[in-house]
Amino acid sequence: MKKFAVLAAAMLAASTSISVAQDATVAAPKAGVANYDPTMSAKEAVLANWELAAAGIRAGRVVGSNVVEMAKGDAPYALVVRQANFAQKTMVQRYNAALWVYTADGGSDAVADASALTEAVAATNAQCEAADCKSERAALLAAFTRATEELDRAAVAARAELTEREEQADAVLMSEQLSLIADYLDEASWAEDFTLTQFGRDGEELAARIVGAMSLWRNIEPYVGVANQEIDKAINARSRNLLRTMRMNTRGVETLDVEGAEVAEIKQAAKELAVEFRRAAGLFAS
Amino acid sequence: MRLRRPIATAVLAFFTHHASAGSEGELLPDAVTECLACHVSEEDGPLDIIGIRALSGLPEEWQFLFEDAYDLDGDGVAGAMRYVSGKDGALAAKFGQSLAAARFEDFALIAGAAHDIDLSAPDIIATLEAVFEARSPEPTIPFVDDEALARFEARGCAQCHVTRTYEFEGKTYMPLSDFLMHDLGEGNGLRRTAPLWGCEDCTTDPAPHAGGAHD
Repeated sequence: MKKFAVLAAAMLAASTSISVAQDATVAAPKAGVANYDPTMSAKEAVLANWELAAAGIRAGRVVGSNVVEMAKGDAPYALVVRQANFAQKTMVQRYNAALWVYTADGGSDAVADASALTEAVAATNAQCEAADCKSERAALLAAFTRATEELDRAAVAARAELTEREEQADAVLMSEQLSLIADYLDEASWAEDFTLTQFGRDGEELAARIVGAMSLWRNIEPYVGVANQEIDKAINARSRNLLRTMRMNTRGVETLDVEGAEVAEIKQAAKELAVEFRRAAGLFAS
Repeated sequence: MRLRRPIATAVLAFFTHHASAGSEGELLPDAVTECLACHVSEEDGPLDIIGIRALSGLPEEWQFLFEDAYDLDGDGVAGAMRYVSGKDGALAAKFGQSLAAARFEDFALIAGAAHDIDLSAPDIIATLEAVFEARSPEPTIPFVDDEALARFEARGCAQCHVTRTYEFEGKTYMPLSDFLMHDLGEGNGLRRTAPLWGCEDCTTDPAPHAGGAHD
């Protein structure tokens, strides 16, 4: 097995070096027989980020729907709560990770009503005091029904944003995407309007919002790297700093003071990263 | 303005190969027979890859349920999704040790190129997929009882080899994989969590790991 891994690594290294050498003129590698190249095109890489947001929210909707189905059926209440607990984590994480979409959209109707998530979490945390837990079960059903409807709307809206961009030129998309990330980090809407403060989950929400923006970088980084390695390295360095700062100031933190020193430190690190993203956007601006 | 692709095809590690080749009695395209030669150990025997049909039914939300690309939860395990080209749009990958493809046909093309087997004709790919699906063993849930499952989870294996199940075509599947990329450390690098479906040996003591890396 080790031998195979070494061989695979050698093949990977060989194909990469060929790519770099031919990069000026060749879009895809030549293979002896028909091949498939997993490397995303520039457009795919940018649109993958919109898909990431839409699919992530949709995932939240799907697991939320499982709760709805279970609550409607005859599954034991404890089992429904267990599923609800699993589902709400995905719903909260994915909704917050996609928050950049709403910034990009100027806060339009793409925004899901986040209070629906608050209600779903509240219903999940409710203590059952009755023997049959009938009212708690009904509350779970109502809350998750509403939350999944909201997530469904948000996913459709995020997907529509993707569709709108399909015909745009690669460079326009790349520049827009990098500018969007810069704006999102700079404007710091990610540090406002926490929806789960009453449950002590500010830190979790903020972290998901920052990481959502970081995930976008993974898909488009290769294109920035080819265009300008110095900017690529600067973004990676600033990203590491932001993630480190964020972890230090949010891990295990139940309630964040949006005007406090901890959030200010994260904002500063985010601003420094935003500067680099703006430089990267400039690489593709006509 | 159209941008060039920054890196070329990553011809990545994928199938594990077994030494002996079997012959195929059916009338199959040569390319399919060539593939089978390395993936069955005896005539009409099963494929050495489990769960090809089941993998096609993996829910699209699966990876999202477990992704924690930057170890936000602080459990020491970070796992990231990988998007790959889908020709008409990006797709979340699930095939191969390096998550090289999202679809069977794409993964088959990578494998074919690595072994100099031309699988480019759509009808050959379709035949290959049908034959592989038909001969790929159906996965089973590999825990003999709830205690075995609990031991597996207690050892921390389920952090990546997740024990969640999904339904597909009326059956319940437990792939025991989050289908995410994890950094397994020096010498191993980034790898997809290997599905352990049907592998009882993989789920019993001792765990088939050495120092956090796969053997």
